Amino acid sequence: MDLSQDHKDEIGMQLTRRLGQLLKDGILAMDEVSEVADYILANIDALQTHEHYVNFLLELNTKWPYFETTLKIEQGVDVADQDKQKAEQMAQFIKNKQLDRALSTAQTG
Amino acid sequence: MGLLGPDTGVLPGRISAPTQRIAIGIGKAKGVPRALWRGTGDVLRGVKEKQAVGIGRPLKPGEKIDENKLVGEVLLPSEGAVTPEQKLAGEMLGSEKSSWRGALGKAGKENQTEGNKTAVREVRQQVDGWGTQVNDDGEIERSRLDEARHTDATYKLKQIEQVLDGTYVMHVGDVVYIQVSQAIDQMGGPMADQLRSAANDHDREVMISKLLKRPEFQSSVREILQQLKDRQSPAKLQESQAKIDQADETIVASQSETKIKSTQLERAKKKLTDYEPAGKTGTDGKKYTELKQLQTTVEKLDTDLETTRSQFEQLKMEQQIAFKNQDMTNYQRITQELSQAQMKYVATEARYNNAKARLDKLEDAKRGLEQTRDEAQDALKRQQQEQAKAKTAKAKAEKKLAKEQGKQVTHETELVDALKNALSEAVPLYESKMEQAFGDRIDTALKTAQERQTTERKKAVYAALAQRYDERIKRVDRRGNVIGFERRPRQDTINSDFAELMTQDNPDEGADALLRHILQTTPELMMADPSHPGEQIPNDAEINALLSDAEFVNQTKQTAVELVILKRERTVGITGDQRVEIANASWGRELFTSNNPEVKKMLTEAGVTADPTAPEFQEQLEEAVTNREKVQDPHNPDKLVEKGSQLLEMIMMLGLFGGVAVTSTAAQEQGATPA
Repeated sequence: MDLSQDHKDEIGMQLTRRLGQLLKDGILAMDEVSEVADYILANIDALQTHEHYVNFLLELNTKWPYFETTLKIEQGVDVADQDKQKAEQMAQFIKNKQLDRALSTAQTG
Repeated sequence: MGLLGPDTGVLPGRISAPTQRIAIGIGKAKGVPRALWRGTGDVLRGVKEKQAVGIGRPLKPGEKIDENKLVGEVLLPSEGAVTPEQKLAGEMLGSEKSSWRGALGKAGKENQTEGNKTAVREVRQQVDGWGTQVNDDGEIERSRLDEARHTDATYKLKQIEQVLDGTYVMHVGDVVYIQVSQAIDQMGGPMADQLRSAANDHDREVMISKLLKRPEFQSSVREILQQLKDRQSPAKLQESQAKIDQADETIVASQSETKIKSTQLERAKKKLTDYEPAGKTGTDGKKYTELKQLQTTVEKLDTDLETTRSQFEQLKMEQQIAFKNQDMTNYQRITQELSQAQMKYVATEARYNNAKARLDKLEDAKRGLEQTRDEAQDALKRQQQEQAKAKTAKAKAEKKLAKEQGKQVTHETELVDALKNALSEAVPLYESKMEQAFGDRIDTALKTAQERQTTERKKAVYAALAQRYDERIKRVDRRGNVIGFERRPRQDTINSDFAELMTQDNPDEGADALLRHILQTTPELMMADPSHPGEQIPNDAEINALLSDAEFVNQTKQTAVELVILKRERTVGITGDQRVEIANASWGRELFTSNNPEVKKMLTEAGVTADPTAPEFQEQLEEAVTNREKVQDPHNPDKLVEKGSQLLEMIMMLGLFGGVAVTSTAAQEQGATPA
């Protein structure tokens, strides 16, 4: 699905508001906000498709892990369902006495 | 962490009201004084250095302040004032589809500009506090030599400031150009190759100018400045000077006391000479003579008194006998003699008393003088000891001051050097940041590809690829806390995979061989597959099963090829001949046929204008990747370097993994410019 300019502006607005909230709550300092802002501005215009956008969010969230909710919404992930799957996977690992892997699964986002 | 508690080393502060954010104390966090207040962090303004500097943290729920302990004052924005952060946050939160760019722009470059200014200002504040002399008021002052260092540092700081605010006009051959280009050259790698292969000085100047303006480079310079700001001088000049002053005060006070005691001693000695017998001068002291005379007189009178008393007693007895015998003649004579003897006794006694009083007085005076002399001598001895002690302390403090001055000079000299090298040191820091960012992008791209896979095993292949060529080394701080990870290339793996790709009898089979090699040498594949608990190494049947999935193979081998070429290029490099081999192989051609518009643009600029399906495409491509035009190395006139040899890598970076949007920025991050 191609991204229209209107959709890009919607994305830009959402990310800007989220960043504003992070600044207001003191979660990110001015320096970091500045870096994120530059990063968004530098990349947003290159987004052509929804897949590009998801990749972009993935990368943004890797660098600054404060955009997970936005990422999951865009990925169409049902968070509750994902948690259920993870629990089942962990149960399977525990059953196989693979506690390290169960722990590792628990720690993954 | 408790607040204002002894365990934290927190110093008390005083509430300054009315303020929007109320300062509640001054403390230290990680050794840096900080102000603590309610609300979010802010840079404090108007706060004396010794009171509080830096960014504080908000109060935690339940934290209370012991107001009895609060002293000092922290100045904060007054009631109703809005901090720049709040203003910006408000603007960002209220942004609309039409205004988000403006708000984000303000948060971006403008804020970086502010950060740059702050970094320079903070270092300047430290530099302005330099000096090795302490004046009478206990303030630090600069000597002429100190002034020279200060001037050096100020000049260099100004230059850095100009670089950061974009007003520095760089020319080929000037100090900034030389520093940065040498740093790039020493670092080696793609950036150095790019610089060496630039067509002329103008191109090199443009390249370095662009680098200086890159936010990531500026951020690296800023980071270096922040480190310099935190590098406090260990010298304790004022402490040593205070000890010298204290010793001086003791010496002066002791000298004054010595003077007084010396005068007392001299006077006592002089007076005592009157009480002494003839010395070298041959004349007895007046008081000595008088004393001797008086002693003789007193002794004589004492004898006279005794004699008179005996006579008196004798006469009295005789008078009693005469009276008893009724011898009136003798009685009268004796009575008369007794009367005379009594008168004589009284007169002698009076003379004795006078002489004795005078003698006692003289002897008391003499003893007094002797006591004064002895005390003065003792006092002088004590003062001499005290002075000697103070002089020793002063000498020690002077030595310490000289040592502290040495420390300060070393500190200042090191900082001047660090300022001189700040721009060149920012180059590898920038490169490391870019390398990290580039690695992150590859990880992200691999993660995206991994998520697209339909089975756990296929996902595991991509997870393994993400770890195959880089080792993650933990970076820890001095306390052992993990502060990040550093990537270190696994050179053996890169080389063996590259060899697998390039050394097949039929070059077109290189990619398939590489993929098989990767699958055969990746134990993590099975570990990552929960459906095969306990298995670690895939068997041939399992590998063949994976390799029979055409879609998976096509996609994965291309990814593996791109990855290994990129890693090889960025570590030991790829030779011109190898480039030709890559361009000639079927899997190699695919590197250049990406749909990414940037790749197409770069190929066009490099002279590859034919359609990838056209026969001349290969020829043009080979021409582009083997552009052997030699140009003079700017740093070594005797050496020639290849122009345009980075084409492959640049296209790799742009086209990696199908040219998704995130990878197009990778090339920008690397400072890549169109060929």
